[in-house]
Amino acid sequence: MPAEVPPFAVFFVGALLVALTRGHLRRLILLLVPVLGGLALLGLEPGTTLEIRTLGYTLVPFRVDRLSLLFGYLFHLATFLGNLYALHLEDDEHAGLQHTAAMLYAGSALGAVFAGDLISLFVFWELLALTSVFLVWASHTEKALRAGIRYLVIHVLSGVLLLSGALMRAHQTGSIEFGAIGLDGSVAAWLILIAFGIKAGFPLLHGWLTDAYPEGTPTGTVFLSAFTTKVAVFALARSFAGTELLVYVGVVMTCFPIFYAVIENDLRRVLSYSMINQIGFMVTGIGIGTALAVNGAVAHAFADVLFKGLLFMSTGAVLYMTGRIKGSDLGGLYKTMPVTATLCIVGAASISAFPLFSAFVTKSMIMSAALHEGYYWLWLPLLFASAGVLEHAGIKIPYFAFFGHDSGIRTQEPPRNMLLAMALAAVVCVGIGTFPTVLYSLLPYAVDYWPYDVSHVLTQTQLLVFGILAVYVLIRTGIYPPELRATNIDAEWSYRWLGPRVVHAVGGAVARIDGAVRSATMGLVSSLLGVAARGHGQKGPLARTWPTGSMVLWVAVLLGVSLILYL
Amino acid sequence: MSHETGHPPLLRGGDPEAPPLSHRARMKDSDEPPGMWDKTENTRRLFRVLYAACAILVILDLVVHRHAEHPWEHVVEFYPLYGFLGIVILVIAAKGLRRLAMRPEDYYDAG
Repeated sequence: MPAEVPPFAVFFVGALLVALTRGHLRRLILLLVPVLGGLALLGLEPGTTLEIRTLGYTLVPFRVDRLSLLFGYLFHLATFLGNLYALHLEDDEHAGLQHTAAMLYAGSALGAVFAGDLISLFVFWELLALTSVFLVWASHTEKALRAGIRYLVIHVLSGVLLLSGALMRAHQTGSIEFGAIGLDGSVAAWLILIAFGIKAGFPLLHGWLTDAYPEGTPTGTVFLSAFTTKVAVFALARSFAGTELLVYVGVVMTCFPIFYAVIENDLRRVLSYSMINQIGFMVTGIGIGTALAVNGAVAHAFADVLFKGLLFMSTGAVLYMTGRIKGSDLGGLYKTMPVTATLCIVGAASISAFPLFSAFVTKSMIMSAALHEGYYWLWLPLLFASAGVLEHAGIKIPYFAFFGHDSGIRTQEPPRNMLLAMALAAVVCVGIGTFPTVLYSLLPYAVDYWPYDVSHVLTQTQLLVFGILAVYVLIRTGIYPPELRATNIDAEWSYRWLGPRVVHAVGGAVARIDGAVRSATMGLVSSLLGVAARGHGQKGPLARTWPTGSMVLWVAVLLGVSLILYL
Repeated sequence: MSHETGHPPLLRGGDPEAPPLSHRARMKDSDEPPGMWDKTENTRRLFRVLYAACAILVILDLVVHRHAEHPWEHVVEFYPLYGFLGIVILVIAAKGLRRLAMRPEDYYDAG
């Protein structure tokens, strides 16, 4: 395979083959495409570009640099793990649809990170939404259908904002290059930032994420967690690095979801909140904008795809095997799913940033950069959010699914392909944490950072172990809130509850005013009709049949009057 | 950490509102032997390890000279205190959030 073929093309052809094949051949293609694509990627040199001149613009659908290559490797790895995890799907689980949608979705993500101009980015941006929504709809429930529609509407809107911003920018600067943009005070830059912010799950724009991700199929949500938000993080790193506003946005993102994660019952929704929290660290790093901070942000994105993928895979395995995913319905599964439980704990340790696990070597770059740049006050909530991660993703997910109160549910380990995918993800999580130089060598800037010194290992372990102690004490004293069947209202309340009611109320008011205006108008019209009827009605003087002669007479009178008037 | 070990029950099991079990799962038999974490001695051992780890980490903070960049990092036992209090405040605040944000499970469907 020639190295110059854009990765998205490889994946789109792969998706076509997946759609046309069945059985073992399809399984082979699902695994081979990311492997061969990944090998081709290794041969790509930064600086390779593909340009198309059309309609007065120079489109660059394919451009390679260190940042895009890093995300390219990541998305190939994520596709391989995701496809392996979904390999067992049968036709009654819409296997063909799910496999094809996943390949197209992954290809769109690759297209976006190798896009060199904003119009190409827009195309892949919309394709991300159009292809991924099928992974939600494939659940075939009423809830999934509705959540998928809301997801699609919001993401298409994000694309429209991106296109509007890109065209305004082209008009103002004459360039559609997908490069550094920054907030220069132009409306175009704001539109692009908001478009990126919707996909990244900025506060108040995040409702789609916690709404749709828990409704995806067990295998589909693993893909969803890998691509959309990471493309947004990539886009922010490319265009808005060093935009100080993002530091504050990021800190809010790290903190607010952890409160929701404590009280949320659906474990995949807990992970969705956790995802916003982790992206918050990345957005903060991008906002700080130094080499260390941006390196930390993209390294953490890399690590997050793997540990969050592993956590979504282990909760997906629980859902697949038991049919249940709520904390209040689960517990005690370690007895029949010990391997899954162990792998889930590896994911939990990785996201919690225990030494030797991945987040320890990535998130700490962002924390250090925050201190180096003097963000002393913001460092405190970031540290608080780091402890919060431990509570909801590190302890709550494995505890309520596999331990806790025994639900009495007995099952067995998930299919081998699922176990293998989880095991590989776990190996990579520990590999990154133990040998960070491999990941560090792939980062966009030269790395002058080493996470393993006595102070860092000691302080992080202290933070986490005393966090565990706190959870234990809170459970023992009965302060820890039980898992309850409930809906916790959040940003999506504005369009799922308030919006329809406002529309209904406004619609009602409009209908009443409209009704009043209509009846008043009708009254006026009918009284006018009454007046007209007196003249023109059956017995009205104007409705009588007059002989032609009298008409001639009247014409003569009219002519006479005209003559008098005009002379 | 379940009923049998004397810990407070956290979860309501066997809830009639729960969705149907998958055909890949079943409910346990009544004569099943207890699992590893149903045995009090195992959970006790686990928590003894936790207490020991806490003790060692507190002592290490006094012995090891750790470098500090943030002014608060100079405070003795800063990280253990921050980790413990952070989680306590988080959980108590989240209980407060529940009073504000919690609605019936079918909240959006009912309207």
